[in-house]
Amino acid sequence: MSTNPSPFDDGNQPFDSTLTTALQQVEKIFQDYEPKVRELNRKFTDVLGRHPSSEDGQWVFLATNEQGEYFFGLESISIEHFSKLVCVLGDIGELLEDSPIHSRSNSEPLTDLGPMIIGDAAKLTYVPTTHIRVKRDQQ
Amino acid sequence: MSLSFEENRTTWEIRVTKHELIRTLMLLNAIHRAPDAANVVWLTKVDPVTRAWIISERMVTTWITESADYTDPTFALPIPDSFISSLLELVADDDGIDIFCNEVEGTIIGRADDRYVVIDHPENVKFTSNNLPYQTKGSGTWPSVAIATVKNSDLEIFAEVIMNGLSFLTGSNDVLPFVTIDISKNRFAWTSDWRRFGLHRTSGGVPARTTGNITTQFYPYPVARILKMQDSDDDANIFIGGEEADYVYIGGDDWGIRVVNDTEINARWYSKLRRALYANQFSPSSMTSERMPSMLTFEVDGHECFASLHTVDEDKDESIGRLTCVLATSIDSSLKIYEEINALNATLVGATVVLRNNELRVITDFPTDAIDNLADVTSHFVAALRKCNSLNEFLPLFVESELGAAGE
Repeated sequence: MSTNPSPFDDGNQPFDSTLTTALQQVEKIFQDYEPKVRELNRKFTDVLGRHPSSEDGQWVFLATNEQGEYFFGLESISIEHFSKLVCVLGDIGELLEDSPIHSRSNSEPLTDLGPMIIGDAAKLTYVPTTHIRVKRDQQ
Repeated sequence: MSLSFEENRTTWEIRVTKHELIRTLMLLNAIHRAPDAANVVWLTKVDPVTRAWIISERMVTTWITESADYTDPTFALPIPDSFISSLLELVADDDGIDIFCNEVEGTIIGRADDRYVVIDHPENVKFTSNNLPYQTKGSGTWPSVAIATVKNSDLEIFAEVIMNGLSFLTGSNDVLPFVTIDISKNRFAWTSDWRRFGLHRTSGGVPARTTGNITTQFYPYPVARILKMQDSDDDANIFIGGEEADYVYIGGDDWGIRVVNDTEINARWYSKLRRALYANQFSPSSMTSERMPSMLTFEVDGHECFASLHTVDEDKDESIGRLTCVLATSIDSSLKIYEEINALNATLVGATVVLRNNELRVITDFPTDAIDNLADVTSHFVAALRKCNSLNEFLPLFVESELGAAGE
């Protein structure tokens, strides 16, 4: 039993210190982390809409790891929704490129005109995975 | 090969249209490459809703783009050249066909309703950065960008004139003429020099909306064949990052060509020059890009030397190769220096010491026609270089010379 005085200064026996820590954690979660989770979910939903496969349509959740540390987790995306997410993110990227904040200032020289000249093919800026021949035994 | 086409098939499939298969087949016909199991057309996505059919062949990479479904896979599927026409045979209507793979058989399958065509999936092929349509390295970030926007109908004139020269050619294994293009204010112009083949020079020009100026060369024949298949009513852009850019790009909204920006003299002699240097026990530098470098480097006794090609007289088709070694730098010209150089040259055979751009160089020139037998040329060059190793003894002014520093 802890010898610490009651935090309420009421003359009663002091709390168990481990209980105090647990209460502080709960308080921390509700006063600090949960609002952040809600904020993140609002932002994600504003940009991407509801999560396509989570039950409540939310993107972010609060979780703890084995060491008891809290972190913000992202709901997983099913394979079938992968392409749709990529598509939406691509659209957002294009909108950002056109926005005044992200467009070049007049003083900055426009040096790489290639993508504007070459068209959609210039968007392939990474080397895609090569589909290789798979020949496995029949089950 | 199993005839149960739907068994063990992949979960993905790609629906392609008759129109894009026809366009891809036309590209293949334009590229006109020899049958080879390693020759493939790459089908891949460039963004979530756009796919590209890409063909790379030596100095040319060409592509078309078409709408894709967002569920299409993002990998690059290698489709053998010969399978494109088979797929086209299968298309009965505008609904198109589905392409998927069988992972037990190791095959690519095309399906239209209940009709199928199958081919072995290519092996040992890999999509590399060279297959990317737009190469940012050395292309778009140059300060002297030149762009010409030209009507496709006018580019057809360019293509027809280029191809016209071929029709008068009778069997020759020599390198065909490169085209010299010129982008200047409101004009796109070109010249082909057929005089090596007993024919004439031909030139032409068409109106264009232009930015910047440039004159450069490329190998035009696959390009011309591709240009002839484009819709006459549209425009195309010709884009060159600069005189030293690796590529010339020509493209419309949904098609494009990337051709190596290189010179006829390099195409005719560069490989032969490399082989000749190897044959004479030198190790010339390897190429780091598709565009041939302006010179090859090699070493003689620890000195960096250069081999380069130069046009002497275009009208007489005269060109030379040159071996060079910079003996010393920061040399100011003076009567005393020239007297010393003349005295030195009187002792050299088959090589000359010259002062250019404040550099003292030993050079050996040779006609490119003699490039296959460089034994005498290289031995003279090496002998002269070794003789010049003691240069600082009788040219004491070169106290800061590279040779002086090397001898310390």
